[in-house]
Amino acid sequence: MEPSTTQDRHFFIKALKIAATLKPVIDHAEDISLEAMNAKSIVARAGDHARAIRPITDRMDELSKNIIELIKQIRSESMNVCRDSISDFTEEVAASHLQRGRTIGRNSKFISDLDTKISLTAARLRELRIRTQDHVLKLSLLLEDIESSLLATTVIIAKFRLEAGVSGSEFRPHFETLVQKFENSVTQSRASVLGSKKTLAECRRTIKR
Amino acid sequence: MMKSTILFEDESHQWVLFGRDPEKSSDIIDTNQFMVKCRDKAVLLDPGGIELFAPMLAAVADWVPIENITTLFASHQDPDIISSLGLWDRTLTNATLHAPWIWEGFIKHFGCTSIAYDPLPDEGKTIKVEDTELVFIPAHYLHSSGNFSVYDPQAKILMSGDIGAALLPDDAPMMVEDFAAHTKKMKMFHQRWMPSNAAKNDWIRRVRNLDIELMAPQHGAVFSGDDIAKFLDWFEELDVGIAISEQQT
Repeated sequence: MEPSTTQDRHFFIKALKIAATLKPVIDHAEDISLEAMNAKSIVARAGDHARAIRPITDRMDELSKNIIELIKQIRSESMNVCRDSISDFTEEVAASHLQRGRTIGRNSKFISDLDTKISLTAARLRELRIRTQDHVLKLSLLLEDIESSLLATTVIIAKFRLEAGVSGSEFRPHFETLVQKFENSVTQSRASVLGSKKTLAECRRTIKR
Repeated sequence: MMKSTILFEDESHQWVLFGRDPEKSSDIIDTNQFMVKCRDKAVLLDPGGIELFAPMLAAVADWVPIENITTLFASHQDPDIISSLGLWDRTLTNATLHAPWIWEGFIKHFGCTSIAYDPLPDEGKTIKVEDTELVFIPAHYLHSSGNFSVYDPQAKILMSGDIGAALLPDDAPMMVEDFAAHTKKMKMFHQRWMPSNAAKNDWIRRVRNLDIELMAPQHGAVFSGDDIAKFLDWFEELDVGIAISEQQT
């Protein structure tokens, strides 16, 4: 088994990795939002030729804004996990130095003075670990939420593709290009989210250890 | 267990030197740490680096209750002097660190939230711990740009920090036994680490007037009796800060 300080170090690096992995998802979601605005203006120009597409672009815009909001929450939560795990790491280091002092000085006259300090450090470590577990749980729920939002976006895009196919020939190429862009953004975002979920699963395994 | 040596003892206080830790990793420089133990209070002088925290704590706890350590002193900012500060900060409940004012913002990077930082002015300062007076004597540029020695007029001990330091084997005696032979172990250290002859001469002028029986550096062995005057003469003659000129020749 790895020493706990090594586990803690791996843990906060993983939390940082989650925040970094999800950063491009914000860019993709902003792209989706921008393209949804673009689609809305094409829909307005197309008039009756694209009547069925209007609610789709509205929904795309709504979903992309929701994704941006979720990503912000996830990044903030992963920073909380990171901050707590760094505190955990430093507390663990302090505890190990105090414990080592206790061991080396087992025959020292006043060494039992340290016992209160060691107990306090252990209590603080427990408190930090509970807090980290709460943050990890919240992070896990947020990643589930964002995955659902991306799935919903995929369904809307499929609908968009169908409607684009039956829209007027003048606007069809514009809509098809937009559909392609949406699909690319969502595919890449889902890959980032899946990567983060995998990293989070490793974090949870570390906590269980 | 780290070795403890009593340097001085009277009714009011004791000076204890901690060093020569047999379990110290060979790749870190050996250091001397000091404690001035008064009746109910104790002072740690240059308490050492993170790596030495545990053995130092164990050694100190053999002499005083931990809560009696109310005063810390750092002669300068180096890691072997005070990088353990963050750990002492978690261990001591009511302590003050006296250290050069110019290093305050730097030393606090080691972690200093519960320990109070008393910035020592360039001209030095005297503190009193119970009945014991400790004088912080300017030793700037020897070797750090903000640096102090500590003088105890009652014990007649000068804790000289890096001045008088020598790089010795782990099992070397605590006291200088053969001054002439010892200079060979000090020469390179002083020439390379001390950058200024003017600063060196200023410090020598200050300490020549003091009544000193023991001069205790932070590395190496302790000087006593006539060896102290011999050291001051030797140091005065030594050209320091020569790394540049040596490269040019």
